[in-house]
Amino acid sequence: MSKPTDLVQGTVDLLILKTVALRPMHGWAIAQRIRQVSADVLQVNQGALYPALHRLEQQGWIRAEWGESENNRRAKYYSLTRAGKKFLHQEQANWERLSSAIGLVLRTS
Amino acid sequence: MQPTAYLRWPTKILLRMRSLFQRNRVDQELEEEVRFHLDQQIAEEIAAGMAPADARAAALRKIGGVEQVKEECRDSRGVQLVQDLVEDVRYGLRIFARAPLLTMVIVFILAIGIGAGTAIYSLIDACLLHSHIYPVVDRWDVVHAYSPARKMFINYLSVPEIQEVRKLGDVFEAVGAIRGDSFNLTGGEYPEHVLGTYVTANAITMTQMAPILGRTFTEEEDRPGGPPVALLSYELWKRRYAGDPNILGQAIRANGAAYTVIGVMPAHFNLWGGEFWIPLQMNPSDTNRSDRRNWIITVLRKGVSERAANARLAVLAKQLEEQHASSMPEYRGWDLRVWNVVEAVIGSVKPALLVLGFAVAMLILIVCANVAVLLLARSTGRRREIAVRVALGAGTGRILRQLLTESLVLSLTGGALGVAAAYAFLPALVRAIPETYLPTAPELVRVNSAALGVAAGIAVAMGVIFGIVPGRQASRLDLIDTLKESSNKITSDRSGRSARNLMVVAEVALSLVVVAAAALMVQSYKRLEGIQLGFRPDHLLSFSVTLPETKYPAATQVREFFDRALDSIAAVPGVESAAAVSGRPMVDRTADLTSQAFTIEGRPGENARGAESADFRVASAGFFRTMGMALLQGRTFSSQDGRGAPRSVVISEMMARTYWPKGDAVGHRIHLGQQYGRRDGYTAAETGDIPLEIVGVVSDVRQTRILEDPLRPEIYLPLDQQESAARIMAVMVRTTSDPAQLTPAIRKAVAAVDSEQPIYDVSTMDEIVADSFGAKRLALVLLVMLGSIALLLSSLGLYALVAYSVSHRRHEIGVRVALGAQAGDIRRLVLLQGVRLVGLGVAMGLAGALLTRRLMQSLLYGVSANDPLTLLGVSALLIGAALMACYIPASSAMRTDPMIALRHE
Repeated sequence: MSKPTDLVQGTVDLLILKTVALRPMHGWAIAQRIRQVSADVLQVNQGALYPALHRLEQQGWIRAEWGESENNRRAKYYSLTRAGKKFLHQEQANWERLSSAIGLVLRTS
Repeated sequence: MQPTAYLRWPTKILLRMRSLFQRNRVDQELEEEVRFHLDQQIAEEIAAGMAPADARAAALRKIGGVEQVKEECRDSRGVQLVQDLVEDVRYGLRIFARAPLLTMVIVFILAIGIGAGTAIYSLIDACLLHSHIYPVVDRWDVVHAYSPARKMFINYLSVPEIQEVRKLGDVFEAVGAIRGDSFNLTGGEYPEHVLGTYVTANAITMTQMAPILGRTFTEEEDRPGGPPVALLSYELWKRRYAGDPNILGQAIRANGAAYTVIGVMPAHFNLWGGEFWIPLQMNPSDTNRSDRRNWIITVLRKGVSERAANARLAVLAKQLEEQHASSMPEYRGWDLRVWNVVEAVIGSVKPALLVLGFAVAMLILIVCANVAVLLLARSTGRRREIAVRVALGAGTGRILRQLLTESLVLSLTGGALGVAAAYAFLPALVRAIPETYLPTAPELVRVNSAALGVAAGIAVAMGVIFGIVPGRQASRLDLIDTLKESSNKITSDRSGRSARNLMVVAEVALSLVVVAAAALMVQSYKRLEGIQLGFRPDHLLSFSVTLPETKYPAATQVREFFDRALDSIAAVPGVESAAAVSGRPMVDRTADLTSQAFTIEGRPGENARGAESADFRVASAGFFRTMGMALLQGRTFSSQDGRGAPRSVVISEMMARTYWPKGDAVGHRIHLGQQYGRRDGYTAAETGDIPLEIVGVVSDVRQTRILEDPLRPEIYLPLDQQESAARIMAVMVRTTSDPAQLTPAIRKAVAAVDSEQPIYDVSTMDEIVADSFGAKRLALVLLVMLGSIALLLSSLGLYALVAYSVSHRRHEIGVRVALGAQAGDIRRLVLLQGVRLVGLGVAMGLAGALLTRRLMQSLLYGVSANDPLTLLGVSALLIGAALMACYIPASSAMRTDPMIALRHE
């Protein structure tokens, strides 16, 4: 059982953080939103989503609260903490720098 | 990423605690969360037009294993490790409970190894490292001189020499001088004799130890004519002055003079054995180079090696030779060297401690090998269990972690027991060491944090090794084969078997080294016991007397005191005779204290290569008879040798044989020359041209407490003919009844002559002789103990290995018996397996014993460290023990019933 590489893991984290930055969301909604926003290109597998959510919660980037879902069921809502917000900004900047750098390399060579 | 910068610890810890302790609730929530997701997925499938029954299956397919997701979530909560650990420990304990004997044996073996290691390490730490007493101990050195003319080191040096060393500020941080002396304290309830030390002011400050009361000496107090002040040791302060907090400013009376107390040093501060300290008040303009009475002590500058200091001192020695050799021929070839203080103090026990430390290290290795054999055998037996776990989805890491936890539980339990044993037995061990051989206070030898660190280190290291090695084997396990194979069949476990064999070979080899060391010590001890003392130690009591100069200023008064005291003692019922001597044999000599140069009349040739030198003692007439020494030629001292009569001298057999090999020493005359290392209070024979006639030759006596020290020539001078007074004298008393019982009566007899005169260092010569054997006997007993444990453990290891292999070969043996093999054949088969390993181990052990012979030799007397007979005997012993260890499983194999063995399948 190989674990996802750091890049992949880091990417999922980033996507989740960015998504919950809008408003508190439960796991299902997060996965749906990522899929929709990326026009079905990015699909976060449930097997990766929940462990990532739990990990981010442990690290204090997001917090979880039980709330009511659209169809009146108990669901766990995740929202960004203040520390998480800072972390997101930093990570987003990192990502943009990295992807533009990669793009630069790919275009020139 | 720098997550720590954002961590909110309280929240995090709270969450983890929650995960740990509210495990069920957390699990429930997880379950609910995942179910919600699943339901959403199902709803979506239905919305896409699927039938509800199919939708569920489709959703499950998309999500993947629900349980796996949950497991991963638990993992990511970061507390899984702790939960696993608890489970592993529980599981391990269950497994141990299933094989209690094996577990107990393993824990017991570990406890022996770790316990012995901890105890001996504590002892070595207290004796060798001293770090807990003096902070500067490793840079603290004595400077002494080597004189090629006298073939010995000179520790006492003169004032000009001290001043010259003081100038070497580039290598020494501080240079001080000290002189030990002996004092009678009076003015209290009873007179008491104590050792005190004259010190330069900086000799106290260089130790970096602060007084617990008052202050240390100032430079002003250390100048000639400075005020008489004293610094007390904690022990003296407690004992004689009842720990009086107002002691500062009070005067104490030592040798009749008054000294004002200015401070008290902390407990165990016993610089040069003194119980109190007085400023040396050395006169820096003193130019007398032959008046040598002080030791030089120094602290090396940080970063200056002893080698660099010696090089600098060599330059000084060269200068001394160039400038003064014409007037002081002694300086020719002189060499000045530093000598580490710890080395100086503990020199005599260091080899013993090193050998013991080495033996303990061997024992710990044997313990490791032994436990490894037992655990390896067990892990092979658990291959199926591990294979099942792997098949059920346990990862390699998980299996490794479990085995590691189990072995750590074992080794830490063993370690804890071992440390407890060390705590329990260390005091007994320390009590077994005669105090003179313990270079530190007995209460300072304890299991300290360093020893605990060593014990914990060993335990953890053992646990890790024993966990990882079988774990690695398990990770290479071929699942299908292992699960298919019957547990009783001969396994194809080649690497496991060779690892076990290797361990047993190593064990036998290490045991041989330890047992050989013990056997050599026994041999050496026997030789030591055979040494001729040269006198009869039984029924012989001895004590010391120091007559203060203030009360006995003249030599005649000193002689008078001894005449009367000896008569008074001789009158005590049970006393046969009593005699006075300037130093007790085996007790009162340091080599340079009583060394005396001499020339032989009519042999000018010997003057050319410098004077000969001998030990000398001043003795009263009855000395030789009282000691029980043998007169070999001529006569001993008598009333003929009084004042005014021709001067006479008695020499030792060794001296007679060296200088008069034809046996005609009696009647020849010698002249005494320079006397070295003169100390106040000790007799100084007059130098000059008075010829001394040799009137007798007596048997050699052992001069120092180190029995194997080579004998030096010895000159005895009659007390009655000495011009200068001997203030420090010993009295020997030959008794007809138990000498120890007579001590009070003898004390009274001395008090009848002078009620203010204490006697001290009272001991029977039997005790002194036993003491001389003390250090050796201790090393011997400990080594024999370690050797026996090593032998036992290696036999046990071999037994376990052979028994294990027999039980696994039962099927094969059954087939052999069924095919007609005789009982003897089977036994041979099994024994052969053991013998091959033992043979290899013994060969390797012999090589190891030869490699360590240099270390061993320093402890041995009269026997070579590679004594072939001893090594042969030890090999035979090991092989014998090994055969016995193999014999038990061999005979059980012999009785194998083929039917049962085959049905066992």
